[in-house]
Amino acid sequence: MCSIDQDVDMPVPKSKITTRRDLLQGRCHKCKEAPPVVDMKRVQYCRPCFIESVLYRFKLAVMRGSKEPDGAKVCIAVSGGPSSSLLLEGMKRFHAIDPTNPRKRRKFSEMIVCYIDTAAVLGHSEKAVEIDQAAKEAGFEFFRVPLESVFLNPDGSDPGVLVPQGINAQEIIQLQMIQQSTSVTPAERLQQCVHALGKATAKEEMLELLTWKVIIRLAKREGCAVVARGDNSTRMAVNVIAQTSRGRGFGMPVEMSEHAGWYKGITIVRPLRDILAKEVAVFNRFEQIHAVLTPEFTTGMPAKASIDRLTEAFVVGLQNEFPMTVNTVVRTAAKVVTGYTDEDTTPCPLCDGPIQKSSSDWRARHTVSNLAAVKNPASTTGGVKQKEDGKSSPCSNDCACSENVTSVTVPPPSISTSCCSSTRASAKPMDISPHICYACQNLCRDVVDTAAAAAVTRRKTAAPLPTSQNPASATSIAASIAAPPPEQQQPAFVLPAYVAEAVVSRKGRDWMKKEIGEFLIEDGED
Amino acid sequence: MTLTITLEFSGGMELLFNNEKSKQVTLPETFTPGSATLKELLPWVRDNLLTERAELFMQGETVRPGILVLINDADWELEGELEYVIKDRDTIVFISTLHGG
Repeated sequence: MCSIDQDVDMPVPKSKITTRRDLLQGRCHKCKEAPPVVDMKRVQYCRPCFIESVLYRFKLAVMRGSKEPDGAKVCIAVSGGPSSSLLLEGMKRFHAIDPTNPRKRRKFSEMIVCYIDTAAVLGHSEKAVEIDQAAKEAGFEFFRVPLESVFLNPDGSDPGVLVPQGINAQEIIQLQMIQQSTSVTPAERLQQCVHALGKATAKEEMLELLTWKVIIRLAKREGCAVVARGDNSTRMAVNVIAQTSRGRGFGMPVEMSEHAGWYKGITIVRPLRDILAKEVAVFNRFEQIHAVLTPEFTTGMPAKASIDRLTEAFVVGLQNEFPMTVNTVVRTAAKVVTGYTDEDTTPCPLCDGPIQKSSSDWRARHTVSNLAAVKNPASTTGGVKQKEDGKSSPCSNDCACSENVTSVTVPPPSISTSCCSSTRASAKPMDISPHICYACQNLCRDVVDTAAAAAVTRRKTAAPLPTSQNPASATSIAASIAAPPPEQQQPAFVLPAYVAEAVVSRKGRDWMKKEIGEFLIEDGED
Repeated sequence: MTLTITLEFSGGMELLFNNEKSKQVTLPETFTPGSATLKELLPWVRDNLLTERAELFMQGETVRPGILVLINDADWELEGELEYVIKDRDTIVFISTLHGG
């Protein structure tokens, strides 16, 4: 029986209770045993704990990112850089049969490695061999696709090329494009397309979006339901800011969200989305993963060479001081919703990203790109509406009636006068600008003025500028990459023909929808 | 006694160092064993080994943000960064983590 008078032996509380969660000075924060070798966001890991932590986050991102039923085929997009090499190694380990449980089913049925060869623009064709080797070691099928194949149809036939009407930049940026057959090789078309853009930012962006187009095309052709990309966390944080400043804010969730669901039939996973660039470098060093050096347009250039480069310097500098910067940016951006999921949001024919409705109206309201449009304000509201008014047939100007316009050879405009002529091809220029997204419009507006460039070249030959004022020749590395070949000094801007195909099919759809509009039953009607 | 260390460059850093990925160097007499730190080494590397674009390697007294330094395969942030005292036969690795090197 207890009594309050009785003395009870109470355990004397210790001055400090050590728990599993306590951090020990000079020990790994996870296992509390080995000395730490890396410091990531103020967490210190020993080598085995660090490797395990990276692989765990990799696996988590793959499992969370792909809600596909088991047995899907995966296309791993690699460039050969550090993140790509880690992606390849991580996928190899993810796909390996579990030695402790060999009967456990694999998440994915098959994996292929796809490398888009940008040698036509950036040089360094020897890279493909090294990446081929790495893919073979991983045991995956390797596809090397030259970037210039984007100028051909998926079946390999030549659809010609889109050339702008007009010669100076003012006329070119109106984007009145004519589809023509050409004798220029796809590689030269690619060079024209990229080098006609004046700014390094635009060149990078054009290269990026064409590369992505080719990856998606290959994934579709090979029946892959999942595409794995090697964007690391730092890169994604840079992309949030860089892409928004280039006018791609509307499509940001497509890049950032884990479940964007934008590309029909293809899921995009980013297994490195929680792994910092620093972690990639340390992991590759510890696990002896060899990366191929992949120079870009701005390799070896100062930070102000392009928006991407500048943003990267900004983010990395901040990250040095505040280690949660990248995480905060990526996680915040992943929550952004822009309404791209609306049913009637259409993909941009050039970049495949979502088009924000009325973006061309918005541009027309606050910029002047066409004097005629200012004189006649009614025509500023975008080409689509303009055409819908008062034209009952789509073939009066835009060749929606030619079902197979891309596979026919189009004679020069002087020969053919009607789009419904026997050649069944569009001879009149089609207005691309209302159909492409805001950022792609911006991109195409960076076309160098060939007339002005020629004048500058003439001035240069008369009185050569000191090399320090010319950013392209500031470094030998950059100069070899960034400067177009001498014979391509004044290239005319071209676009791949798939853009026309998409525009034509969209116009056809709009026209048909209008024609049968009154017979359609709207949702909500009985 | 002099200090002999191995320097390694990767991730695009080698482009600034005459495409040499690894280099063994013997530091001059000015580096006193036992007191010479990374703070002295970095300017020496810049002035003696760097072949291109010093501003892409250093910013102020330290390396540019985005360049990772490992000392004997351990993060230099754990070793005291610039205050680390160089020992004989150390391996110091510079890795660029920037996109495109």
